[in-house]
Amino acid sequence: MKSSNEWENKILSIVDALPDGLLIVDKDNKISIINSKAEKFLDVDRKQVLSKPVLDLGHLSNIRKIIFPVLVDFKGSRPGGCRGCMKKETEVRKNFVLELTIEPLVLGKNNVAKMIILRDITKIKYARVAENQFISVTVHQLKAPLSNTRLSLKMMLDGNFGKINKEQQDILEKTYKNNESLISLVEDLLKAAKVDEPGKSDNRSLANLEDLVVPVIDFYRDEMRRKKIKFKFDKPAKNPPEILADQEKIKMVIQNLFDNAVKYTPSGGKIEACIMSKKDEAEFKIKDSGIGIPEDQKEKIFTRFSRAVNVIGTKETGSGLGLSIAKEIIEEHHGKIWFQSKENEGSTFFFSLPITGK
Amino acid sequence: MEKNILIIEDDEFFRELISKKLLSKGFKISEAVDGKTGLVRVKKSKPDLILLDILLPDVDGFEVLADLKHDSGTLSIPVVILSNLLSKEDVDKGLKLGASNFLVKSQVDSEEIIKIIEKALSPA
Repeated sequence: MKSSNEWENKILSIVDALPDGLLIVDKDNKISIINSKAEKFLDVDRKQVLSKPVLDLGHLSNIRKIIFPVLVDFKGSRPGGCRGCMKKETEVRKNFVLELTIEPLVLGKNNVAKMIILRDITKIKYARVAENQFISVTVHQLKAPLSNTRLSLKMMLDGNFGKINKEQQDILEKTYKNNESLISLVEDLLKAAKVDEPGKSDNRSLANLEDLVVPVIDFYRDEMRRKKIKFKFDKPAKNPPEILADQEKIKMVIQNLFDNAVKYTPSGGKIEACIMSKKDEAEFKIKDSGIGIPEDQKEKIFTRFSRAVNVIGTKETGSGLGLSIAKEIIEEHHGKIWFQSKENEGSTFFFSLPITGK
Repeated sequence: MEKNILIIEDDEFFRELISKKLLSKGFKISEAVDGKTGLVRVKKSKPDLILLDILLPDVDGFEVLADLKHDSGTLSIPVVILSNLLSKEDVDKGLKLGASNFLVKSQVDSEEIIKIIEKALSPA
């Protein structure tokens, strides 16, 4: 009858050999499993922590600094899938960045533990910092000539340098439009580099989600009218949800989602936006009757520079950065972003953010 | 009376374009290619308005603006920033330092620039 013990030992050996740190906190908030990598990352010995309530381990500085905050922030009780998990990056010390993923682990009825995975992302983080610095410098160098080209073309089109004929006007207008696409690409690149700038102070304040959505809707009204798009906006009749947010960043997310919906919905189509107040989160959704996302493109839709193949042939330009920026911002705010889509029928994008004080 | 506008801008082509536009609208213009020269010129010739770039060699536009707004002799000269910077932090910084407007080069055209200059020059 060695099988049960043998299996347990085998599994514990596998867990111990994992390249990432793993910590299981049971339903009574006691640490029931810790592997070697987690011991190393947290600078603790398993004998010090096993079977002890996490809250009694405040004297261990890394448990206090790294594990306490994620357990406090973690509200997910829905097991499975991305909707129940939470990710957080922590700079443990200079040149050491950990990514913590915390996920509910169902072990039985009324027995939900928490699984914390600790991953060393220092190399990835610093590679991104270098990449972003490179993007920032390059983009700033590109912006000056593009702005000059824009100003000179517009001045020519406005007749500042003499009369132009119809053919010249046509060519200049096309050149102007191409230049505008390049400007919007470099501006998106700058925003993307800015979003994950290291050590950037966060400008969070209390905000009503409706106050962030309405200005974006107003901005797109003319374009929706021009394309004869039927637009509907629903919101809670009272007590609009309040969130703690960097308002400019959340507006950028809403704008990116609106921009895609308006761009890829054909003339005469439909767009519906909606704010909902859920139990402990505020949810925003925008549904369009656009071209949709092909099944095989869905997986990479939130990765940088990704544009679905069915939009590449359209006249709409885009950098493929909007959704990756949106995802980074929402996750930075401990929220979730997801979508449903069917090619040729339309897409619905959602994000949710924790409601303040809940 | 013709209004005198000082353009502090290191980009030669942009200076040329904006000068042409201003001259065609009857303004008198003077130019400076960096912050230091710009400050000397402001203090010497007291222009009616300054068009100021931010990313300048030596002394940047924010420093130029702070200097002008700390000097009682130049404090009241309206300054319109015309820059490629567009982040909220930069715009807020420019306005907090006392600029009348913060215009992003890739988002305005010459007619809008003229309108804003005329508005900044008109008595409140």
